[in-house]
Amino acid sequence: MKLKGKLLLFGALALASAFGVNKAISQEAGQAISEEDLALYKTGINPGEVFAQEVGGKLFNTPMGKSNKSCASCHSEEKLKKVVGTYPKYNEKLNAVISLQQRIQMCQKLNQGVENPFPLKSEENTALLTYLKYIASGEKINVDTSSNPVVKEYYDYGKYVFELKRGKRNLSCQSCHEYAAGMVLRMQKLNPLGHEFNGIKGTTAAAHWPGYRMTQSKVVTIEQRFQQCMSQASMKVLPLGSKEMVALELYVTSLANGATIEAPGLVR
Amino acid sequence: MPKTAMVKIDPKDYKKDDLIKVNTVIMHPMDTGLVKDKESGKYIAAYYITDVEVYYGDEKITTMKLSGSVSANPFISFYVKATKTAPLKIVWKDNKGDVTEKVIDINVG
Amino acid sequence: MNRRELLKGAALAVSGLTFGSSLLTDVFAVELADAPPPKKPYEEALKEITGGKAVTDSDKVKLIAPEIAENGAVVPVTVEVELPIEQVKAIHILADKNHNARTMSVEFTPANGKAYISTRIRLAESMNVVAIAQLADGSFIKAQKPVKVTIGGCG
Repeated sequence: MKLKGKLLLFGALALASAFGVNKAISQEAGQAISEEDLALYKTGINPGEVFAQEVGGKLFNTPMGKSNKSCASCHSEEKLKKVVGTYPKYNEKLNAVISLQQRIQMCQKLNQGVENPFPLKSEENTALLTYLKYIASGEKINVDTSSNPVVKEYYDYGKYVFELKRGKRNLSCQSCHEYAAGMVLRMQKLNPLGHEFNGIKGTTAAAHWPGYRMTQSKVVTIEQRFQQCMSQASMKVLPLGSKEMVALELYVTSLANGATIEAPGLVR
Repeated sequence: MPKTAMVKIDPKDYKKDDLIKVNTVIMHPMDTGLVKDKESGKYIAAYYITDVEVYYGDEKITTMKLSGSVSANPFISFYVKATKTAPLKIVWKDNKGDVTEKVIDINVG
Repeated sequence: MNRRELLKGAALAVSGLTFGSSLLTDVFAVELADAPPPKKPYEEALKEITGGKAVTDSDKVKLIAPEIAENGAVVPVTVEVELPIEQVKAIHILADKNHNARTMSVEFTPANGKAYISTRIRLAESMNVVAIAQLADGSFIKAQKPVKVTIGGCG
């Protein structure tokens, strides 16, 4: 057998045995939190909801910038909530796909006359995003992935970023969220990010982000979660709002197309 | 400086003498005092809600004592028997003397 | 003006907004201390509550907690004592391996209607959660449950 063939076979066997060994010896390691126990978390009030209403909601109604207008003065919540699920979305002015967070920045700059819109990593921008997703709860995720060449480019690029192996451990998003989906990693179940994959039920992640991260005691956006995931997987973290991140957000959100928005979510 | 809090009553359509569930959340870091600050090597000082009091009308009906072991942005849920129309007041106090109050009216018609 | 106020003022000036600082959570400098608070181990916490009196296991104390907690920062715990409210004076929730084994103590009055408390606690590691009911006749009954706390796979 040629060397390459030998290495591939060895690699495949090592991988198989690693998974096999894990399944065999660690009865404990294979355990993960049960559905009933997860339900215990849902019975309370999600602190993210307080954040959405008290911080985001107040900002939404606060006059800002040279115009001294609030978001609420132009936007009716009834109409706005129908649009939330279509983001990330193509923007004609910029001839690019942008996230809802970036659209908020655009609105602040162009329509409210705010000199310095809230940065993407700021609590204010997160609060406004959370409020918008919160009022849109009940609507469906419905992002366009193909209506024009720019959108198609972003979608394909996002899929590419999702599947690209990077970093020290040579992992891609796909490694855990598709290939290893259904398996347990340190007592936590790995889930697909869409409706389902290979018969394993997915979380339709985009429908319940931004989420209140219990381990951080604060609401985190989906792009920030991507960064935290990348960091954990020993990949170089992509900047918020970069083309790669927005493309990735578009792709992951498209996986949840049709799912009902329920935000902010309650997540680990 | 009072903190942000939310109080919800369940069910919304209760009658006189029903047992109603009061769900509360207050935004508070609940620092235990055990976490080290990386830069200085010192500890982030304990900063958490120590007392919660529930008043129904003029009467104090529940008293709670909390430690830093309660999760951040604490969720606390308890029951009240809706015997009379009166305000239900929840008071949270932390170890720095901060007081937050939230009042919700109980109406039994 | 302390550093917290100065930074907040600067941030508000830059953004041209003037809203109450209660809108944003404290993100700036926190107070530091030289030493952590003193330890209160389970035995000491138990003595504090019962004064050395015996505590018997009872199935009248219903303790609901997950078998495996998804993370140690937020563990849902619910305690209900299945006795008339007039008979129950207080519920104490303890976590036997925490630095301070006492987490929450709730004193009821008949106005509560039900001896019930539900909350979220922190568990430093896998340990037992103990719910002690202090009864009006001066006796103590309890229930306990081991809860596994995981590191988690992805942060």
